[in-house]
Amino acid sequence: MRPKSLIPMPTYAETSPVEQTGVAAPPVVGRRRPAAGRGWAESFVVSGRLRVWFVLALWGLLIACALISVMAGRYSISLPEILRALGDSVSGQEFTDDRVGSVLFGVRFPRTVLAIFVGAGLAVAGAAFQSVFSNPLATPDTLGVSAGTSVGAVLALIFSWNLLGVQALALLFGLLAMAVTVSIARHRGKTSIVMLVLAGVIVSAIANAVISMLKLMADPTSKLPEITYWLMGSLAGVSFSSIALGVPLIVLGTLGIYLLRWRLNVLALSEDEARAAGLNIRVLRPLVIACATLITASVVSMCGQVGWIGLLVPHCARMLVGNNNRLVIPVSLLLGAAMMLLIDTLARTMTASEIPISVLTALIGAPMFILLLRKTGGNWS
Amino acid sequence: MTLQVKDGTFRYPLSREPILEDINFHVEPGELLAILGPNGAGKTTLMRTMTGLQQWSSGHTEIDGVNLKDMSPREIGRTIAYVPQARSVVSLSLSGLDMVTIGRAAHLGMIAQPGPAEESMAWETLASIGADHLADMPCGNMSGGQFQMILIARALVAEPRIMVLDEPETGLDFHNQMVVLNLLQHLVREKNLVVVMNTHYPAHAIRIADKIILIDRVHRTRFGPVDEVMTEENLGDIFDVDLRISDIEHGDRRVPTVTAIDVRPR
Repeated sequence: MRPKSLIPMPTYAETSPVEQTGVAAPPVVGRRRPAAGRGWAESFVVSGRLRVWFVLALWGLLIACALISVMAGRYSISLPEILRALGDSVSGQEFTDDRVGSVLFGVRFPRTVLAIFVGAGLAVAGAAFQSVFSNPLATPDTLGVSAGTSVGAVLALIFSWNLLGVQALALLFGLLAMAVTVSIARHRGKTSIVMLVLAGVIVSAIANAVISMLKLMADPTSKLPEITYWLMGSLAGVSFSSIALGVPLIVLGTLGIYLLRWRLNVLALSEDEARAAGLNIRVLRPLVIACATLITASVVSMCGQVGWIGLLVPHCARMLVGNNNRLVIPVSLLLGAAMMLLIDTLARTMTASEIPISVLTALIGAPMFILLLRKTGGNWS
Repeated sequence: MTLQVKDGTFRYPLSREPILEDINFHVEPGELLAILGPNGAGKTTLMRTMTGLQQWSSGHTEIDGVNLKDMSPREIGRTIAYVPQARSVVSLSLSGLDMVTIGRAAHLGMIAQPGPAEESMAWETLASIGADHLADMPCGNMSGGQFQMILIARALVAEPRIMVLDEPETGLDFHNQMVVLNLLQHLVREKNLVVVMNTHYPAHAIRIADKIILIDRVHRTRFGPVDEVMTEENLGDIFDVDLRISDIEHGDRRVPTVTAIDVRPR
């Protein structure tokens, strides 16, 4: 054997200051991440965690949006009136002002609660899809999941099933659409960004064609308008009983993704790397996809197609705190809820009749997204 | 921890010709195995099959006598660290430190989050290979050499006994090639790891490897110690190139070089 000299500990010095000064660096033991982050994230993240004031600000934003949502409307209600009605409700008395009480508990509160869960759920589902497919364009809409779940929901509407039936069928068709998209996009064990989005476009086209066909066959006096308005998306007409049926599923899916949020970082790597890191991706990947699809199906069956949130909000979150899903998921959750509240409040207050949600999310969301893209150059890549 | 492959054969489904046939080798702790061969010979396939990322069609990989198939993904993740080629920078890229922290995944529970302990481990690992200045840089903004260091740190932070690297020095500049080679040699000699690497550079293999697997264009393999396998005749046959192997003396060190003279017609 050739003699092999002992090699001193090598130092990687492509840009290291050590080599420039010629002085050996002192041994580093137990050092922690420096306080400084990068870019915007520097202001919001410290030692890999969100700054306390930033978290408080996000919660403040959410609470402010929720208050505006409860107060604003055709019949505006002031904060003292809300507090009084809440007090009456808690102490079990008759409402001091019957009209305020019935508007609050019959209309505003359920709607506000639903908006919070829908916005948070869709944003988290979008962020999860983007990580699982390591594709910044993956959302329930672009993957064809939204359109797929809509087919299931429209079918159930035609059969006049109750909300539970609508949800079950929506989930079934959502998972089916997801499976078709993934199998089209997967070529020789690899899924490219472009192929996945193309497959999503194809599946959406098929699903929308099926929806059109179902609409043609639906009763034009009762079922057709119901389906059409529902497809455009609206949070109108919810009650606490329908929330009690649908929201637990959103919570379940969101909780699943929230708990696995750090593992999403690993799933976003190539399949070989994720497996080499010791992950059982045969279990983990389908689990995350199922959670995100469950959220989408539940949202679609309660309030139709609500586009854009799943794309816009996670990317806003990434521009604020970087790409670590440990932070992106909670920030998306809070931002998504706040954004949905704002859009729903606008939808029902801007004009005399209500504007469909998907119209507003596109009209507001798209320009906002362009603005952010131009400002940051899409620095998630 | 001994890494051993017994009668490993791999063929793609529906294909009759095997990519790898009757592979037999073993590497002990403190030994570096280099795999050499022309493009398309099956080097990457061999790495993927020996680490369980791809199943052998027949035969198997053993770690200390335990069949890899009988180990859980988590156990394998704790034992073997795989360093892919550095050119695949993914979108939605993490910062250097977050990327290195991922290496702890096999040690954490399914829903556990990395805490201060994991984070300072990642920091120390980065610092130990002199790459701590990359901690806050997004991986997408890194050069090939910088990203390679992050990937090696990510592998090391898992505290593996076996490290498998796919062309770790390819695409790096001259300086960084030496840095990576020195680092690998250090891991083998000082940390007593089993290191397996693919390489396109015969001189690098002679310089740091203890054992060699040569794979030729028709997937025939030859396994043995460096001195036996890395001969002018063998290398010439494998690459269809006329070449000379010589040593350059520098003080008391002898540095091997391999110089290609000309191509042979295939």
